[in-house]
Amino acid sequence: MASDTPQGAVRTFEDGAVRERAGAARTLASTLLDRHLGIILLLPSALTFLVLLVFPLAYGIYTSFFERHVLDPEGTWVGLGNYVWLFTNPNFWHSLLISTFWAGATVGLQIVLGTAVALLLHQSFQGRSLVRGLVLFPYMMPVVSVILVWMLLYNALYGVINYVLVQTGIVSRPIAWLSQPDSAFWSVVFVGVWKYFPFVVVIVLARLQVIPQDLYEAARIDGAGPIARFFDITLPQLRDVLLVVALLRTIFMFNNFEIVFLLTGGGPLRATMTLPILVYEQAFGVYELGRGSAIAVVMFFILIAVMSVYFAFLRKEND
Amino acid sequence: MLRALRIYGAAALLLIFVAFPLYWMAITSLKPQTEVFRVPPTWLPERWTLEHYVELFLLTDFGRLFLNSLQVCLMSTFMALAVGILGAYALARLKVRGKEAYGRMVLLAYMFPGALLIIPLLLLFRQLGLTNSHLGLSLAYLTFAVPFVMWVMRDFFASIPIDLEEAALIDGASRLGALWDVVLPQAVPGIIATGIFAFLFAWNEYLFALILISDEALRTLPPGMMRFVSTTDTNWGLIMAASTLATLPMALAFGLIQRYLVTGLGAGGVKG
Repeated sequence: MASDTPQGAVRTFEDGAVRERAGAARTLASTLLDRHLGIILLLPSALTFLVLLVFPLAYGIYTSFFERHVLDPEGTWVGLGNYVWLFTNPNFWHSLLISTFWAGATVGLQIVLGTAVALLLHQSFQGRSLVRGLVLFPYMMPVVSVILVWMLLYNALYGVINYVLVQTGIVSRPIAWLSQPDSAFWSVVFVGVWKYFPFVVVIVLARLQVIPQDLYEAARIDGAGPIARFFDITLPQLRDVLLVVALLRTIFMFNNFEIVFLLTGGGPLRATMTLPILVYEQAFGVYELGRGSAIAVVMFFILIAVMSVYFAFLRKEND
Repeated sequence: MLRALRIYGAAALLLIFVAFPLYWMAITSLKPQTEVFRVPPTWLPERWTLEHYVELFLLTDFGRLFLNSLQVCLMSTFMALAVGILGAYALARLKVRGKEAYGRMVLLAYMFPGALLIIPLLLLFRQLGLTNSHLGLSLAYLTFAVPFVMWVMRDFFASIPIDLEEAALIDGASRLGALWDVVLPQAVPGIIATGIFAFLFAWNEYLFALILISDEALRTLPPGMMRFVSTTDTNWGLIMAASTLATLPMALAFGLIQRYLVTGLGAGGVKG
């Protein structure tokens, strides 16, 4: 478009010819620049992805075909050996199961709690904007701060949670929340829900605000109560956004390393040993880089599978 | 009346659920050591003290950890903004063959788990001499920061009316000139919000920081703080003081971007 309107349209008689030539040169250069600008602007990001994502991914896949550890830093080709080890190892299947439970439990609870809170914050009441702001704090708070404060709250000897539960008679004696297999899992799930449910709140709240009001008016005239209005109008309107949020959160929670690792380290007795922690254990605990890479590659294919569902869904949306 | 009571009751429960851990963190950091371990706990400090904050700076390396984190996060945020904004503009406005596929790849990149990348990144960075380097760690953070910036800013650019840009082009501005003079000034709020999020993700990151940096002098805040749990005889007052201070940049940023939070969070989904 710039080439249709060359620069230097205002010119004087004396230096007009010079200006015209300069203008033409500039126009040619800028036309060329404009024509290829898209590629040029995408180049830095493409380079970043190539060096920091594509190459490492390829290198990770390559490494997964080697037995590679401290005594053998260059590695020995073992073909699919690491994958055979993986698929015949009960610890892998256990971790896959734990990861699935962890993602399922945290995402399910985040969706239910997040939607309920979004519905509450959609009502008008005094101090609503303050509450709306505060609700986001867990999400924005540094993971390590979150972990440390929950460690203190869960503490078996002087933790507030135990104090309140014992005082109110809900439990008879303090529980070592994070160091017993049965309570550890749900304790980390609780923290995962606490930290990430605001993500659901924000997105659902944004969607609630664009539901046409006349839908509710019509339902009210038809005599539908609040519960009927929720199931007949709100929920169908929210359906698509909830599906997208559930998919995104499933990916993030499945991949989440920090919350569980820092609270329990995968224990006790592997009760919270998710796949990312298994990668860490193999690669940096026992220095089996090949085995660690093989687990990471399996995680990558799980990610691809979930993402293709997401993209298929988006495509259906756009049609 | 009953409805109002229900709403305020629910809001109060929500506030306790969300804010109590924050309150407990701050209040514990202000209690003297003996009071921290007391059962029953004191809901407000009997004696308010800043001794843990003084301790934190005099007896631990918290100050250095904080500055190291600041340096890494600022570097990675500025690099991510520079690279990501250019790419986002191209995706939103320019004709490039295959940009839809590229956009999908960006989203996929953004979902990459750290556990997947850390092994090859460590091996690669060792070869390049980028381990134990703040530059190296900030480059590693680009793996999530660049896709994030591109994804969010693409939607932001797309939401800016195209008219002014077209007018500038008709007036003879080049595409690049229009981007610099017309589009970017309008995008400043979005850029700030996006930059703050990119900063916070880097500020929170633990795994890369743990693996890529082993030199104590270069360590950043998240792995550095976790060390306090074992090394200081679990001095919870001190640890809560550190947690509170680590949360401060977030609280400051929060005040700045509250209005844009929905933009940042809503557009495509945020890492975490």
